[in-house]
Amino acid sequence: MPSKPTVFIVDDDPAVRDSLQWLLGSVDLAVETYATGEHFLRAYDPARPGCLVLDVRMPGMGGLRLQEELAAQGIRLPIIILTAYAEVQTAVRALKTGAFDFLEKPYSDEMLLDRIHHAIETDQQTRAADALRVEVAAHYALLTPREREVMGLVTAGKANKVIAAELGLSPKTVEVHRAAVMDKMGADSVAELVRLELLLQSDRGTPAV
Amino acid sequence: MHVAVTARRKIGIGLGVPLVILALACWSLYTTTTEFIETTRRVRHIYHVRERLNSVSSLLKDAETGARGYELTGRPTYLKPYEAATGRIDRSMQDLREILDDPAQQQRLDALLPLITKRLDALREVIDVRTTQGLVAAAAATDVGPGQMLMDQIRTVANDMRNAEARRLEQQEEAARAGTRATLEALAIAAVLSFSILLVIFYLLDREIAERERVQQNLMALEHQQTVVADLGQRALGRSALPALLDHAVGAVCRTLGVEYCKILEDAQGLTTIAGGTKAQADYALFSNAPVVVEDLQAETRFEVSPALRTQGGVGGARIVIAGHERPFGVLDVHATRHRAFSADDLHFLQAVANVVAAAIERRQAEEALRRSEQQSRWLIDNSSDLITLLDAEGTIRYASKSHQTILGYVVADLHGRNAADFVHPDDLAQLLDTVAPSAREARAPQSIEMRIRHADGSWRTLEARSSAWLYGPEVAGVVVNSRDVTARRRAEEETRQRQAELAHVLRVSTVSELAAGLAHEINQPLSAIVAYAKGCTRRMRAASGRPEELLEAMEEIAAQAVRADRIVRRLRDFVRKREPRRERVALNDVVRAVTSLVGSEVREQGINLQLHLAPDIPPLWVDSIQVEQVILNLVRNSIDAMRGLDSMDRVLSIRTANVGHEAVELAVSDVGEGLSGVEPEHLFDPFFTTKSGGLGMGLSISRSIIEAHHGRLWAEPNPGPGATFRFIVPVPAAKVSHAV
Repeated sequence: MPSKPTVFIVDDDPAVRDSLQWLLGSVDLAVETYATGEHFLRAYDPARPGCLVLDVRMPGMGGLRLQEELAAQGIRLPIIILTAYAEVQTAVRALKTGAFDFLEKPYSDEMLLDRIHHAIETDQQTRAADALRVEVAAHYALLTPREREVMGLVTAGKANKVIAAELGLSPKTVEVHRAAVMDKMGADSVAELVRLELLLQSDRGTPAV
Repeated sequence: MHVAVTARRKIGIGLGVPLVILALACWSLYTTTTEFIETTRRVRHIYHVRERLNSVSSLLKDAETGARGYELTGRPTYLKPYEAATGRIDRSMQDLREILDDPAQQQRLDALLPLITKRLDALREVIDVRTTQGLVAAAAATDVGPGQMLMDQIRTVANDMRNAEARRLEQQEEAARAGTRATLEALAIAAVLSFSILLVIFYLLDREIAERERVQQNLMALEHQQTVVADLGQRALGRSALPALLDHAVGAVCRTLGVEYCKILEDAQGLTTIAGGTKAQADYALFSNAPVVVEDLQAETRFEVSPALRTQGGVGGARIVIAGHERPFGVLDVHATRHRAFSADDLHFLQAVANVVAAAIERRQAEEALRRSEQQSRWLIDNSSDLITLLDAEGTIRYASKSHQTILGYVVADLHGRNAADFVHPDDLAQLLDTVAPSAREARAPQSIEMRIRHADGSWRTLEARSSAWLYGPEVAGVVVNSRDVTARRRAEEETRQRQAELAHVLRVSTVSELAAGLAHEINQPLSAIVAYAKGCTRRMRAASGRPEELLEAMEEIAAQAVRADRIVRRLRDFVRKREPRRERVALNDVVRAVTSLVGSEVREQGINLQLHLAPDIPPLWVDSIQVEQVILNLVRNSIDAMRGLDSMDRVLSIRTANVGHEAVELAVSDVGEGLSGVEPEHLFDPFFTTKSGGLGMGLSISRSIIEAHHGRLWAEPNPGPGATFRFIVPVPAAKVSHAV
């Protein structure tokens, strides 16, 4: 299912678009070009990996607006911002909103290609992490409320007795819950469970797909 | 016409009715007379019957007497009467029978006849007895008793018959009398009736004829009056002096109306005397503003009669106001020394005379005014500081005002007969022939041009000339050229223009520095494209993977992008270059496109939706393209600034070009920004007026002066929705107009 990573280029200047496509084509990268941010938003499937190359100055939805819009939709495609004239303000704003990188026109082809490859790699890592998070979340969904309580206390580093006292249960019952949690979450050790808990917490904002 | 018909009908009725009555009377007379004749005949018949009856009676008596005589005497002489009577008695009886027409009388006659026969037979017997047997026997045979009875019977019957006839006679007489009386009465009534009707008709006809004669007389009088008025009108139109005309009018009125006094009183004092309370008749007429008719001056109460008029013995009179446009000229006064009624026609006549007099006075006044005005015009032309020149169709000077000497240094008399073209600067001659010459031929609306004219000292003076053609007007029959020396003004304007151009240049340079970031981006776009294409090529060639045709295509693109970069730089250089203002044929839409390339980067960065509505048929303009570009750039940048507060998705900027008729083109820059925000639109164009923190406040001011230097107009207006629209109109060069027409 994970298709070949694609470089999505959004630029209103056809010469810039075509020349970039030409350059990236030389290193065998898959490229798709769009004249406006709106076109891209309409066509893009978030499941597709790759990176986005944007011009800051564009009519209609500008580069920064597109970046904001993607962030709002929870799409974390790495974004490389191109600009003709390094304006510090624009750069700061872009990076703050989560731009992956920032390049000044005219750019060095090596640097550009390097950044693009880096971005694609990052995207792949992010997507792998996301996939894992989804899996852990699915396991977590199987826990009963009591089991989730027990898991929270276990990962907080509390002993079974303490947990039993806090929840008003017998240590025996806590033991049973704990075994069920370890089993359902597929964890071999408490350390493993803690890692999974952290993964879940980092995912709280985004829905588990 | 109406009168004639009525009269004919009256005559018809008036004669017809008596005729009918008389005919009826005659018919009645005729019938009565016929009846009378018949009555007479009947009377005569009655008399005839009576005569016959009497004859029979007397014959019977004769027979009786004769028989008696013979009986007594025996003398045969007595037998003669008897014989005669008996012989005739049958005839008489026979006659009687024939003429009797009454059946009753016939019966009576039938009764009488046997009685008479019986008596005659008795008498015959007596006679026979006497003859044969003598007197005694005869006497014995005379049967006295029965004879007497027979005779009585005869007498009775005869009397009856007579009486019957007498009765009939009386009846006839009565009838005749009644008929005669009725006829006489009918005749009398018919006569009286006919006479009366004839009398009435005669009266009516008499009146009719009198009326016609009166109308005829009036018509003649009216015709005469009209002739008099027409004659007076002719004289008024002629060249005769006003006093003579007024004298003639007065005389004509006297003769026509048969009055002794006629005067024309001039209203020199106006209505002043009315205010004093005593009203003279003339003032009264002026005051009432209608004809004033006086039946008898001595009995007049409406106004005071002048003593002069009293002594002249005026009795009946009339006064008519001689009306003028603003106030009456005076009064037409007519008086007779006897009672004289003034008919409506008379008053109309007087009014007509007054009108003619008024028209004549007015005309004389107008002529006088015209003469004065002509003098004034000549004086004005001679003293005007403008040059006033009259040319004929070929351009030959026919008149030149005195100012030619003071302004151009020529002796005016020397100019007459020279051709105007000899004095015009060779470069301006074509323009002159293009504009003035056609306007002269076609009598077009006055055209204004500027040209250089040689001064007598050889220098050139700039004149602003305005010509109007009067080739076909009989008054001038030429081209009137009104020119003014604008040399000094033009020089000052040229200096202003220079200063303005310098200022415009400074502003352009400052604009470009403001645009630097955007322009850098604009130039970097093709440069980065070139780099990418080139590097793409290098990599493919190193890897030996590129197909030759795609490599070729990329190289073509590199060249194209290099041209693009060059164009941007060149445009920028043009825009900031310091140079002399220069007019050239310029397509407005191209200027708009140049502007959009200068601001393209800024527009993109701001996310502005730039809409161009460029009319395809805009004629070329005669303008300084860089200055016009500067104006448009300035307006566009103002609009961009005005939309900074908006969300980038909402920013819309439109540039529209359009034709305004054939004479001008319009450009409008609209935005949806903060608008004029309550600032008076004209205030925006004041120098140093700015709402921006970094602005000089010179942009709109210099823009307006640039457009005005191109004889155009630049203004701002709020949009119906959000934002504002800045517009300018620039005239299309005249040559274009003449092509279009």
